[in-house]
Formats: sequence, C-alpha cells, structure tokens
Amino acid sequence: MTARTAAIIFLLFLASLAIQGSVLALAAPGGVHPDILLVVTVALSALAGPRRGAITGLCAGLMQDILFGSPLGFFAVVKMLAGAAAGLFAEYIYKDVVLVLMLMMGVLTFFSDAATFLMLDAFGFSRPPSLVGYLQQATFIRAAINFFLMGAIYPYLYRAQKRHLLFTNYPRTEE
Amino acid sequence: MLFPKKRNNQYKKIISFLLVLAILLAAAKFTAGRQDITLPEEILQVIAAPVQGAFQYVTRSVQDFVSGLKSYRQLLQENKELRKQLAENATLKVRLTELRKENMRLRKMLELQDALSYEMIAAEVIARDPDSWFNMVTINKGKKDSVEPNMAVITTEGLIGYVYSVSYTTANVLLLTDSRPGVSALVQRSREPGVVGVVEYAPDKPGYLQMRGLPRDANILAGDTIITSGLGGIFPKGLVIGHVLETGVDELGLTRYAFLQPAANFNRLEEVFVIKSNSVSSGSEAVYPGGEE
Repeated sequence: MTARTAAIIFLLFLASLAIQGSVLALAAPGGVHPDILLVVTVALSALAGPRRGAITGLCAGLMQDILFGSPLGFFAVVKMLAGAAAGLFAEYIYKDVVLVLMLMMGVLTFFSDAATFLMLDAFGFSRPPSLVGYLQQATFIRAAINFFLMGAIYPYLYRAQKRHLLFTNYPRTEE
Repeated sequence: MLFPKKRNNQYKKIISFLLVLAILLAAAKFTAGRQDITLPEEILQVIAAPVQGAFQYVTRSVQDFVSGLKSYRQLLQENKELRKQLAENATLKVRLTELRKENMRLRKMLELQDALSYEMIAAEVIARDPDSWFNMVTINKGKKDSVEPNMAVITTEGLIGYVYSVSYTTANVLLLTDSRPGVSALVQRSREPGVVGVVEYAPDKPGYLQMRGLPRDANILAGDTIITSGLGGIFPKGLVIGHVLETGVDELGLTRYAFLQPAANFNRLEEVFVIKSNSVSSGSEAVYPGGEE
C-alpha cells in the first residue's frame, strides 16, 4: 500500500465518517441509520483481498472508535472482520458484477450487526434485548440501505482501482 | 521445517489476524471506561474536526432548508385555511346581517298584518324590471296563492302599487312611480270631504309622486301625510302613500297640486303584502302600526 493509497483511503474514511455523522443522520428510515463506513470498507476490501481488507477494516474501525469515542478497538474488530470476510468472499466472485457485491454487502451488514451485538454483550454494554429481534427489525432495514449504497459507491471505487488509484499489486482486479 | 512454506505463510497470516483481533479486544476491554485520549487520537480528532464540521455545516444547511421549506409549506397551508375561514366568516357575517334585517322586516310585517284588518298575502320581490321605462316588480306569489290582478300591494312603510298581471306562481306589480296608475287620495290631517286628489308619478321629479286635482283652497301643507281615499275600488281606504314635500297652484290657477315623498322606498323593495280584494269591506280603513292613522 503506497502513501498515496493510504491518503486516499484515509480521506475516504474521513468523508464517510463525516457523512455518517451528518448527512446520513437525516436519512434514518424507522430510526435506522445506514453504515456508510462499512459500505466503503467492504467495497475497498472486495478490491483489496482478505489481508488488505482486514487492514482496511481495522483502520476504518479504529478511526470510528477514535472519532466517536467508542472503546478503542471495538469497531476496529467488527470492521476488520467485515473487511477480511469481504476480501475473502471477493476472491470467488466477479468484481465487475455490482449486484453480487451489493448482495454481499447485505449479508455482511447482518454479519457486522451480529458481531456488534455480541461485542456489546461481551463487554457488558447496553444492547437490544434480542439478537434475532434486532436483526429482524433494525438490521434488515440497514442491510437494504447499505445494499443500495453499495450499488452507488462501488462502481466509482472499482473504476478507481482499475486506474490503479487504490491498491496496487493485486492481480484479481486486473482481470 | 514443520509445515510446507505456503501453508506456513497461511498459518502466519491466521495467527497474525487472531493476534490483532485479541489485541483489539483487549484494547476495547481496557479502554471501555476511559475518558482521557492519547496524542494520536487527539491529532486524528483535530484533523477530522474541520471535515466533520464542514459536513455538519452542509447537513445543517440542508436541514434548515428542508425545515424552512416545510415551514413555508405549512405556512402556505395555514394561510390558505385561514383565508378560507375568513371568507366563510365574512359570508356568515353578511348572512347574519341579512337574517337580522329580514327578521326585523318580517317582524314589522307581522305587526302590520296584525294591525291591518285585511287579509294579506306575504310575498317577496324576486325581480325588478331591468329597463327604466316601466316601474314593475315581480313577486313570488301568483294564482296558486290567490293573487289576482288589481290587488293593492303594500310594504310596512306604505302603498307601493297594485297587481298588474298574474301567472300561476308569480305576479307583476305596477309601482306608483310608473306613469300608469293613479290613486285617489286625501290629506290625512284634514280629511276634508271633497278634497280628494289623484296621486300619480311626477314626470318632472323621478322617484317622487305628484298629487293633483285638489281644490285651489284645499287644506294641505308640507309634511302632511297622504292616504288612499278608498275610491276607485282597487285601493282600500287609509293606506299611506307619502308625505307632502311642497304644494302649489297650477298654471291656470284653478287647482292645487303637491309633490309627495313616497312613504315606501321604491329602491329597496324586498318583502311586500298583497291585500286580498275580497277582504276589503267598504268603509274599512288601514291603520299602520305606530302611525297616527
């Protein structure tokens, strides 16, 4: 990962977090906010592969923890897992088929929310009473929004990757 | 070597991943109740703050714009509803005033009906001859209500004319201000026998009446009330026609005349009474409520 890639990803995360905390706060159907940082993480991780995806997720989560005051490492774990999973799955799919990526985003939203729930439970933080109930009510909506956000964001990142503006030396994106 | 190189690499990766995961979990555990922030965190927050501020500013602007738009729409809607209510209230107010006036008129008519001994048919003026050549109004009572031609028509103020023609549901009333009718009349104050004149329209003074054919020495003064004499068979005796404005002697010096201010307001005819002919007995005289008749 070059310095330029790191800077671009840092700015992407920064913008995502800023948008997450401001503009997307307006769009909360049923009180559920989309997770644009997760969308960007998954999109980047799909282009980067499992190892870089995990690092990307780790960085995104750490930034979220630092900027929003959650325990340091809390969202870093969740996003790292999500990034690693996205990178791993992406090795077996065609990266130019956006719909598949969108579906993966939906699935990973459930994964991310479930992981967050378990983390909350493990750390003794207040959490929704039931994991299944939470997944059915909140996550379902969030997954739907993230699904569409992925469809909007991923093509730009894919094009950027094709122009070698993001990750380098990753043969799967060269196809 | 315990494992082949490729597999060894994979294990390394997995172990590294799990190690990082464990570190992160531990960090999360230890920083859960932490309030102080480290220097790198502070730097990151300082860097992020302007970006967050910028997005927040944009968001607030959008929010303000949207809420402003909502408020504007709400205000427009509210304004529309208030205008509607205002219009309804204004209509109601006008209607109320109308009803109040109608009520007063009807009360007067009721008093008049009680006071006069004639059988009367209450009617409403529904149309007025639009041209100025004929002074005719249409009332909403006709043959089905037993209205017949040549029946006298009055208001609470006084005589206005007589029924000229009748249809099944309406009747046309020829007003005194028309050139055709002539009413035999006398001065109420003096009631001198033989001092009877004819009241008709005044060609020189539109809207006024003229009483002519009085004896030169007739006892008639300005302000006198002129009433129907009962002669002629159409108008019963004692109906108020008008009040004397001025008197004079004709060009030949043989008879006296008088200009009258009609008792009824011909420009504002709404409710009227038709006096049924068969109810008028000879010698009966109208007595207006509150009048001196």
